[in-house]
Amino acid sequence: MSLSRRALFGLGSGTRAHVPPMITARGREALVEEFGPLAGEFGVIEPPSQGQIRISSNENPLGPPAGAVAAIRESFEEAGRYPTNAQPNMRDLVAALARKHDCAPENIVLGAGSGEILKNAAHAFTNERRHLVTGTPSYLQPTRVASYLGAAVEAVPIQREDGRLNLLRMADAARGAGLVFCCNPNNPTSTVHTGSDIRSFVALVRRISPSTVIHFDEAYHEYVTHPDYESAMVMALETPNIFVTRTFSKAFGMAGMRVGYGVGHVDTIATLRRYSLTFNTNTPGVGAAYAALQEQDFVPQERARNTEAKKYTVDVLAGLGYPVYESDTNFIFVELGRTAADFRDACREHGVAVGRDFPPMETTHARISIGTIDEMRTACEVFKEVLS
Amino acid sequence: MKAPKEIRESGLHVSRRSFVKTVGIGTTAAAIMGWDGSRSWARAASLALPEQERPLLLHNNENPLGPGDKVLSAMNDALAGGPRAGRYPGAAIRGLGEAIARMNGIPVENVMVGNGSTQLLRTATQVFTSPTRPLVTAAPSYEEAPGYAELVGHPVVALPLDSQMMIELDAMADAAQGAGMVFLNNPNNPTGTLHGADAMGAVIDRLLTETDAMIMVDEAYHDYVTDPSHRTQIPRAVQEERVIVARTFSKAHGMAGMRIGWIVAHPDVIERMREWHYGLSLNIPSLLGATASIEDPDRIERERERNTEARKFTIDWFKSQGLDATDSQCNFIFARTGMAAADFRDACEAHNIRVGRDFPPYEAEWARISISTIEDMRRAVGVFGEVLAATQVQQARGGAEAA
Repeated sequence: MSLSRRALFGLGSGTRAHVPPMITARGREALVEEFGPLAGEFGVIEPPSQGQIRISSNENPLGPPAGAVAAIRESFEEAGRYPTNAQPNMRDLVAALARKHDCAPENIVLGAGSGEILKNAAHAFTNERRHLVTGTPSYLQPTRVASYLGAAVEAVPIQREDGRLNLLRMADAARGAGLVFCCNPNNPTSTVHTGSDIRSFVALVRRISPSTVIHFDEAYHEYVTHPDYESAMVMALETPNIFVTRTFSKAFGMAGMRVGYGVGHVDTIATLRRYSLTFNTNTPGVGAAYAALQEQDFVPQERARNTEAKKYTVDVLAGLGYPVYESDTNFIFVELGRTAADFRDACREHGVAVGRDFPPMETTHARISIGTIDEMRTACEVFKEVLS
Repeated sequence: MKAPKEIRESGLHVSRRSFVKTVGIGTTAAAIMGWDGSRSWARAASLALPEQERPLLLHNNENPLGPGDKVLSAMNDALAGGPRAGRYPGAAIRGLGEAIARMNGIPVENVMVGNGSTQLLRTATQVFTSPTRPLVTAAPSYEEAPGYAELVGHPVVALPLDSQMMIELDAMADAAQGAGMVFLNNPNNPTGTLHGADAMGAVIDRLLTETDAMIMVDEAYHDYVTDPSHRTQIPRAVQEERVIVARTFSKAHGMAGMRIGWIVAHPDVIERMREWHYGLSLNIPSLLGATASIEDPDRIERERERNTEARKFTIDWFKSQGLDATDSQCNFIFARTGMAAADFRDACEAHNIRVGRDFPPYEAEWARISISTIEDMRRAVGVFGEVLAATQVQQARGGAEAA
């Protein structure tokens, strides 16, 4: 059951939602052990080897648009120049993004992937006195950073029945928080919240904890097909302490180029910019992103391609009796009734790489990224075999 | 606004040689392209501007030739084998670490790569300094580590250079009691000055015995050093748990736009840094290009020779004008123009030449000038001569009026 506006508005001042279980900051050793030494999700990724199907990292299997690849090649001529001196340079990309989102350049911060901005936000807005609120399972980067800094982490379990974040409980846990991280659509559960859900959520967090920063990570925005979805970007531009992150790593097919960005109120963005790596984006990545923004047809085509391949995959799994959460991303989260590790190992033996463990649901659910339709046909044959 | 088609298609080698002089976009170029020249630094070389209008970037210590042909091939190949740009770069990160280890004859466990050495300097500052464990640095020196320490509220102890514009190593060691990290830029940016192996060895010994601070030796300009007394501290970083050496592909390797740097450190130090480090900051073409570049040491040698000649030419010119310059070991010089760096910079920019920013406390008389090709430096000293002569005329006039 998704969070309805009525459910939120039904929360009178005297009504308190049940306080969610709290995961406080653990030692950094425990975190490293749990999440691996490199950045959260991606520590041990191998490139797909010959004949292997890699549907483990939520990548666009086709890569960037041709114009972006051409821009990358051309940019090599300027590889010796810092990204501020090349053309297009970081400012040109910021200006192009500002035009796309109908805002000022001061509303935009670039990142080496949106992951850098996720990290910088947790760094800027959480500390030993200001905790992080997030979902679980959800994207782990903010949890990792906040925990390192000694900030408490309140990780609110998702709603098992529909895979969505429990926005009511997250809002309630936001009292006194430095940062609320809301991954919409959520990775790894693939589910999305509607525009009215998100607006109600913001109103509630504002009421409960006015100074808490709210971060909407919309890494999978371009893949959403849900008719009631709305980006939080308009709200972010109008309201201090709300910002949105987006990435070129997913639908734009540039995971290897490391370009993401954040959009929000100038004050919030100014804080995030102070934490940005010096020259965080590389010249080829800037050129590729700049070129990709000009290819208007690319994202709708990629979304349609993904939607078709995803439907095929979901139909096969549903036909086998395995429930899949309603996905608005380029991956699905499926209940297999067995551990993700067993499923992953069995698939790997057949040359198919699927997603890692997502505690606390790793005993029952697996994340499968959507490759090309041909890859998914092959992968589904493997699924049938290993699940039988 | 890309290069004209004929230039693009005339082959990598030729087009690269024309783009190497690529710089910012001058007034004329801005007019032609309808862009604000102060905002967009474009491929103005392709506009076939007259020599004196072609912008010359002497402000960021870049290698004007960019990466070598082997690097360009590797980066282009990275895009040829299917949609690799759409894949996360995990294994390529490890591949570069292995190549660095191989070329330096050290274990791969001692190597960590980052988004330029700047990211690694930031990570080390985060991990090894704290509100109670300051960063000790020289001033002026490279600002990345102290800038980050200030951002996160960790105290910075900045010690002035000596009268020869050298880092005062003993003063640094004296100040390092209780410090979290000591930052030693050798050779030092912006002064270009170098401490030889004996002096560096001695201060590292002192720091290891008298303090418990981490010792970060930033050798960004190592490949440009010609002073025979210089030795890299990489062997020391492999031996000693508290010594870290930082290097970069942004300078002699000609890959500033590709954002790759690396450190050599003890495996335990690297493990501690990885707990904080954002590891996914590196892009696929850069990683494969850097791997090719480190396997082509001959090109670095040629780049050093090229830079040495152009650097000597430029320093000699300043001396011929009766002006001082440090014995720079880098791809820039630090010269006493006798005028404010800001005035010198503005005057040069009017001639489409950009030079370095202010470096207090020397900004009243000294300027940092990056070394480009010898042809570029011939044009640059012509402009410097005009700028300095015009200033002298103005000063003489001012003096006459005052009299």
